[in-house]
Amino acid sequence: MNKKEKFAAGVKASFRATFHKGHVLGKMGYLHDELEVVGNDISYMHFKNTDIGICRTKNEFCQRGMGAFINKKYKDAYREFEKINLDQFPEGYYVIAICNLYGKGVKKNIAEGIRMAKMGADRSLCCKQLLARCYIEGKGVQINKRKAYELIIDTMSQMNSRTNTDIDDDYFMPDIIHFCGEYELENGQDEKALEHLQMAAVDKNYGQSYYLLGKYYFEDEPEKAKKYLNRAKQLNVNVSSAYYADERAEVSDETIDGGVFEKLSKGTSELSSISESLDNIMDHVDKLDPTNIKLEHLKKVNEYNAIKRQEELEKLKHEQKTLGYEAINAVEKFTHIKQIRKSEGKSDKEETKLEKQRRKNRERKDREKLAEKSKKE
Amino acid sequence: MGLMKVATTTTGAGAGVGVGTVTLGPLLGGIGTVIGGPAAPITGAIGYGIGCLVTGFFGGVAGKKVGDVVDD
Repeated sequence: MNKKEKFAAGVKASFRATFHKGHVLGKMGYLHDELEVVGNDISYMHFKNTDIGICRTKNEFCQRGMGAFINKKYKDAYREFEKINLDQFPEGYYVIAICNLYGKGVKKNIAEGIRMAKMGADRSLCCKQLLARCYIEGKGVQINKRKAYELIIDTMSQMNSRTNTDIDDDYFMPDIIHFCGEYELENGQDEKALEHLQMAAVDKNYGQSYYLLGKYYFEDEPEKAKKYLNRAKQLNVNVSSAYYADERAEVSDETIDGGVFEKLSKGTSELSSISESLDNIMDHVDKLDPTNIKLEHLKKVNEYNAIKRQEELEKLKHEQKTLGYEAINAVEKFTHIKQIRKSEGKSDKEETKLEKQRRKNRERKDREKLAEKSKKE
Repeated sequence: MGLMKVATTTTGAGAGVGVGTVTLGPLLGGIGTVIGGPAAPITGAIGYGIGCLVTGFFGGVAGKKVGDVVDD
């Protein structure tokens, strides 16, 4: 499955989820199950730098190159691989093919990679299994599952019969054994398929094979199937929830209300009163009319404003009154002072005459001072 | 917040989620599926959920704005 196919599958599954359940979480759960196939998609061309260890060799250059390759010094590795005598050490075809296919230490050249793998396939088991992977995924060649199956079976039989092979059994990937089982199941060879699947699952601890075995036994031997499915789950395989439908049904039957509804049904006094008040509140809420609420609110606001205005007016009146009283007091004080002066026998006119005389005296003195000053100068 | 504003906000959010389930949700679901690898079911579902909720959020914001206008 390439990226475009995965994207299309994701979008399609999302649309199916949209029209499946009522709420977002339900849709997400459904989508999770729908995408299970995408998550379980096996990438046969996936390659880590440590996977080069599958090649077993006695060639010095090849060993040195593999060491550099594992340490991610791909250019050094490719330089070493180029020095291998390919006629004597056919495993050299495999390492050079890997470098070309994945663009490690050299520019990516799938056609060259396939050519090298094909050249070495007759004598190197590593090349044979690599070519089989290319046929499964259709990388550089047309997809041909039958040819891939034949190549893998041939590789495995030679691994069992010959002792001196260029393939390390510890690094031999279980995914292609699983592929054989899957292919045989598709073609109705159940016995062979189960044998291969058991080999991949039990010997190599491969989760996808456990899952396939679980699916196979699900209807006839549910207990056995459950064991396989549980093991697959432990190995991080996306096992569909459809296989656990019975368990989920049991869980969903249990109440999750904490016994609240049970207490309500018993009719205890407190709970019943609470429920009644809740009902009343709900009735009132139902009766609520937003337009009436707005009108009532406006009425209250107007009443409040009117009361405030009256209060302000009263305040103003009070202030005016106090100012009036102060003015009256000032007038009274003035008349009182006048009366006192009259009683002392001094009139306002007399006072002005005295002031005039004092002013004339001051002016005369000033004039005299100025005359004296001018004389001195 | 008045009753009208609450009503328009919730309606907007609901409509946003509804629209999101057929637009942004599937798009992000697809992207999540691609980037997920073996965890595609989880990332795909999360992407879908995020898509739905994001549109729901924007729907809610739009609903609130409508509510503001109605209140004025």
